[in-house]
Amino acid sequence: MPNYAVEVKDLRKFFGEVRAVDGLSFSVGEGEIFGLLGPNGAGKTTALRIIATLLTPSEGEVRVFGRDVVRDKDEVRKLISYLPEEAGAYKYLTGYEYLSFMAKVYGVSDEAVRDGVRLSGLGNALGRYVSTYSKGMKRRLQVARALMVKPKLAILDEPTSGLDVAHAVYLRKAIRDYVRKYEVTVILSSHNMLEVEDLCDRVALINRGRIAAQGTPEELMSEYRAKNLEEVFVRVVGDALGLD
Amino acid sequence: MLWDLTKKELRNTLRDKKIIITSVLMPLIIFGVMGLVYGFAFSKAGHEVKESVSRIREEGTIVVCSMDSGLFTNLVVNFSKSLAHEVRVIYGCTESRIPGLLAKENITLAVYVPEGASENLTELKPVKVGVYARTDKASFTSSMTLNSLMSAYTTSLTSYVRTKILASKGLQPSEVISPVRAEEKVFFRGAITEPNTLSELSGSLIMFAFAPLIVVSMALGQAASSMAVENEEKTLEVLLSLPISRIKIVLGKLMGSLVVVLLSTISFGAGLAIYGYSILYSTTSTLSYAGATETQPVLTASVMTNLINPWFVVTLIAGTFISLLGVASLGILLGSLAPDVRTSSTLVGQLSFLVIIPGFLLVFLDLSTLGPAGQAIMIALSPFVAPILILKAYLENIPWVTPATLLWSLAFAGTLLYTSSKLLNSERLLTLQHKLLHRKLKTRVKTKHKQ
Repeated sequence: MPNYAVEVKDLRKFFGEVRAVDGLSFSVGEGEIFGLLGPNGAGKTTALRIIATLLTPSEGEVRVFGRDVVRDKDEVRKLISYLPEEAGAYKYLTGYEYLSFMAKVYGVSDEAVRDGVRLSGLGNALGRYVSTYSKGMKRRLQVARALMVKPKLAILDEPTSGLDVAHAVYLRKAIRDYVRKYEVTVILSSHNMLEVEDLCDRVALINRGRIAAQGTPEELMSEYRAKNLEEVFVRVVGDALGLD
Repeated sequence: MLWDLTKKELRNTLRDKKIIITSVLMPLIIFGVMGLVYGFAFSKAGHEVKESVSRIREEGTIVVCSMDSGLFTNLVVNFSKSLAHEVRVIYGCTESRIPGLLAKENITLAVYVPEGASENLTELKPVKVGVYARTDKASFTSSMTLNSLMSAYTTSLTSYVRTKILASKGLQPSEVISPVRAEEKVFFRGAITEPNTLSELSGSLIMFAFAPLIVVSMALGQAASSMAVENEEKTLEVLLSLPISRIKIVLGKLMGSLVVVLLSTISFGAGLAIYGYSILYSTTSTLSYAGATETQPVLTASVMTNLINPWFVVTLIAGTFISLLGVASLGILLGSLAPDVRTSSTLVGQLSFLVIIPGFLLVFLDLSTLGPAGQAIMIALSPFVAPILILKAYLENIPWVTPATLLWSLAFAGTLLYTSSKLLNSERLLTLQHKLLHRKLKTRVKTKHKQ
């Protein structure tokens, strides 16, 4: 039986009458970069929040390195690092103070902070208050924070959301190099097909809370006879959304 | 155009129920309650004066401490017998013995008659007597009662003496206005002081009671905004995903908020020390019996020194800390529900009555007038303003109130702390926030439909 970093089995999450996730099942192998793709409201963020122990499943089961995210949530939190889509940092801390605080929370050495400094690429700006940072700088700080502690699983929700091309390219490279070097398993969601194609070993397309298609980018492109993932996406979920 | 802009502003503002509650209902409730409290306090004080006079007749003791053995002393004794249940006369008694007598025995009033009083009376010279009342309570009611009691005694004694003596000499009482000049003093917790001191003390201590009220309100706002800012700055989700226990997160917030509030408390303490020092060493001019102007301190140092004992200071500090802990926990609860600092400020404004109303009640109402059941209700209502309750209980000499207040406030703070940490179970918190947001959206949609 293979060792899975993440196992999601028949996961359902209801908010009143709304079925945010409705029978989601997938698994992520150790050291893999796994992408969740889907339109707005497909249930990506809800699924990631459940894996990150922030929400509990209404039905189904989620395991992270064999630990149940409900019963063993304290254990799971030690293994993961979660980057929400909209994550802020304390504005009256300097970037360096923020990284140091996070290193202390995870009980990792100063070497991790030095990694964070390198990963962020913010240089001397780390000595300034976070309130002076641009959106791109804040996101770089957040990605550095999430990865520098070398979690066994990094959960990245739209890691390059809202960034300009230069910042997005920088971050993609930083993520790819770092997780390969330290064998960090990554599960990420994104709307950026180029990013997913570039970063992910395997991809799951989610629609209405369920998996609509799953495989490596190459497999999916071949299966749907598409030139790129964007075409796959439109063919898989476009009909459901009423797109041509 | 201006009217359209104003109309838009009014619609946008007044349709928010929170604004109506904060701006219209809260002042109405707070000042309405304050009016009721004032009225209650005054009527209670008036009732207490009547009660105290009848108590003297039933069980009161007046001691006449006299250096005179003639007619005047007899008149004072006879007059006192018409007032009190028991009258004792000590001849050859110097004025300096009076504090000792008042300290040891349960005496309502002590009257000092100086040497040569009877001769003075015969020669139609005014007689100066000392009227001493004893109390252990520094409160609005007790100072009003004492002043009324002593004033009534002095006026009646003067009238009695005038009628009896002057009539025997064939003179009309109106021919001599005041044969007795009384110097009224109060024996308060081991020290002799001016009657005004007590009312000054009660008045001045209102400010001391307001200080915790302000500090506690600040703690509520500070803790709420420290949590709401986590939502506003989008840091909460990351915080909740970190390998830190919920109780540690809440305690970290609490300690951070308390340190900030502590700085304010120290600043308030310094301000109050200046305030207290100014009162302690300020002087006032009073007209003495001889018609000369005397200058004396308003609050004698001995009264203040007697007031401050270590147990009181310890309980006051403990009460302040516990109240701050409770109110900061409540602030964290409110702040965690608010999506931003502005909403948390509104929530804090709406719930500030939990602090303000019991605070005002305690500042202006005398606990001794409420009886044990009323005092227990005040304790139950005041977990966030324990220091005011402790201060009042100490000044009014109601010992059981202090430990009961500390225990109740501690239990309340502990419960709130536990609830806050439970709420930080992210599922519950995010669901509650979602519900609040959903309700807000529903209201907006309804408003749009109406338009």
